[in-house]
Amino acid sequence: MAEIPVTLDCVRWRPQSGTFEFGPVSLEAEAGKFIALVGPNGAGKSTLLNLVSGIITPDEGRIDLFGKAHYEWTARERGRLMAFLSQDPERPFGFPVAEYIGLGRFPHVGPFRSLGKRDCRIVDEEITAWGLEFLESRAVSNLSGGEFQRVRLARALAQEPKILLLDEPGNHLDLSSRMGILNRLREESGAGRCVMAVLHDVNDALLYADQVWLVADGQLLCSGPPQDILQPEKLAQVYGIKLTPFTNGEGLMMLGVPSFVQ
Amino acid sequence: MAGVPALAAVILLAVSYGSVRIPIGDILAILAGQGDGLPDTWSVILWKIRIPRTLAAALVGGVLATGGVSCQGLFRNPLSEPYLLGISSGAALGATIAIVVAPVSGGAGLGIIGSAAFMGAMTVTVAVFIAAGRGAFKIPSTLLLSGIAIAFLCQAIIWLLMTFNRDQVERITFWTLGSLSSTGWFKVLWLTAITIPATIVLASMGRVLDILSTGYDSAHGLGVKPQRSAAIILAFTSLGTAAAVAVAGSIGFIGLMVPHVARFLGGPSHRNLVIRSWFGGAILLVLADLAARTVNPPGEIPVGIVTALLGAPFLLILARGKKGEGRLDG
Repeated sequence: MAEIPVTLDCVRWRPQSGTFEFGPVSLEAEAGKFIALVGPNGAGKSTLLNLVSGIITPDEGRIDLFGKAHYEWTARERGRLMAFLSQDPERPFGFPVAEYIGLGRFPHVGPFRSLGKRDCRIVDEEITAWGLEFLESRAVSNLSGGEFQRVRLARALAQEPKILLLDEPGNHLDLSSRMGILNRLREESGAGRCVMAVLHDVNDALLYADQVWLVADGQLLCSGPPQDILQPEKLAQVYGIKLTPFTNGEGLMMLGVPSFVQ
Repeated sequence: MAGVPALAAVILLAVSYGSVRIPIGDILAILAGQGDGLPDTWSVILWKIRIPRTLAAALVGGVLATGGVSCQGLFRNPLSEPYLLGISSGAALGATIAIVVAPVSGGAGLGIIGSAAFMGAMTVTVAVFIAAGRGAFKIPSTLLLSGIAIAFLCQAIIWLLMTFNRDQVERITFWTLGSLSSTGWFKVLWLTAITIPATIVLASMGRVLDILSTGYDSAHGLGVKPQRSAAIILAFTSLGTAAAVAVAGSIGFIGLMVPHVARFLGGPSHRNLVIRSWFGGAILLVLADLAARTVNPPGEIPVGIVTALLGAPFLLILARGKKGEGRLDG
């Protein structure tokens, strides 16, 4: 049996200050699945991603990547295994788009070797896939928010990660670019990657995700297929807002038009 | 690599000019040991004064520029430079204390003032890191703020010491402005031993600097240990800069200015930027020092004034570009 990409076992984490507590959370993220992390602000979705990425380490419990403890992987091995797009990107000044996307190859080429033929081909493919050809030589610091977000996604995918962690990948993007991203993520999970993304729009989760993890108050409330998890009653508990279900053209449940819970 | 011949040419030029003009052909003859028939004083001027001084200028300028590259990349801030880490203020405080306490400025090796400046720079830099705390590498502004705060503190103490020691004010001021006069072979050796290894380490971490310049979380995601890498880079940057400042005082603007020019000339990738900046800084300071000792013979003006005169308009051009298409982005 293939190893599970991400396993959390009774993971707890507490920030140095504040009352927030995360966990205990136990879960498994399977390969080939697009998992949407859904929940209100401050629920712990980003904390969960940060824990999986290793930016923060759990106070208790254990996180395994492919059956091996997180800390047993070297930083570069981890970079080949997993790409992470956090929410607030910083822009290095002056880097042209193509070169910036090429940084995604770092875990493969290391600090000294130059990008090889295959690396350059992967970078070019991502540039084409995200429609960035006309920006190739522009500096990343001069891009619009939406353009830069696509460049970051291209960089993350150039890493060829088995696990993709994305904190609100649709940030800064217009409707069609957002759908472009979600479609691409579906493709990537279909190709066997494990995709975990924080999504704020429940309808995005309903339409694109294979699984939804509902996170609230630092706990994993429940997980399962989106149509089961994103029921209006459950969401009302979490958000305090009652959404109205309706059926779209393909017979799928969608949510809309909030009416306030008394 | 156009840097090597360019630097060699500039060094020859600098060695040739001064109170006594020595033709470049004769310099080469003396260097080759075939200076028979040429004035004996020339050989003394070259070996005892001009060559060590010019080499020191190159080494100091090189490492200051290199430090600027690593700080700008690490802090993702085009206006940062190693002096913001407390190195120059610490060195100035150390030098001031030495000037006030010690009756004479002599002493073997770096001299009393140089040694005190080096210790001051290292002590204050460590204090800046401690004050910034654990988050220092994650949020660069904490480190920069802590550096600025401690710099103010050092400056206050310096002014206090100046107030109580009015007769030393001139010496303190001139030390702070920076100068390469009276630089002998020991200092060249000292600079070589510290700044060359520091530069090599920083150059070898060029790709890592690229990764770090994308941000902390992002660097982590790309497979580096941002905390550890940043610590190594800052340690060597501080050490190299402190070694330079101990010899030459706080020569300004090189660390700020040269990386921008180097980025403009050859792109932002740190793999080559570190070395390119080293050559840029070396060339610039050799020329600045040549100007400092030749514009007003037989006197000298502090080389820091020359670099400041060059740096101020440069910064203005940089700022104007920022408004438009972003010259800061090189």
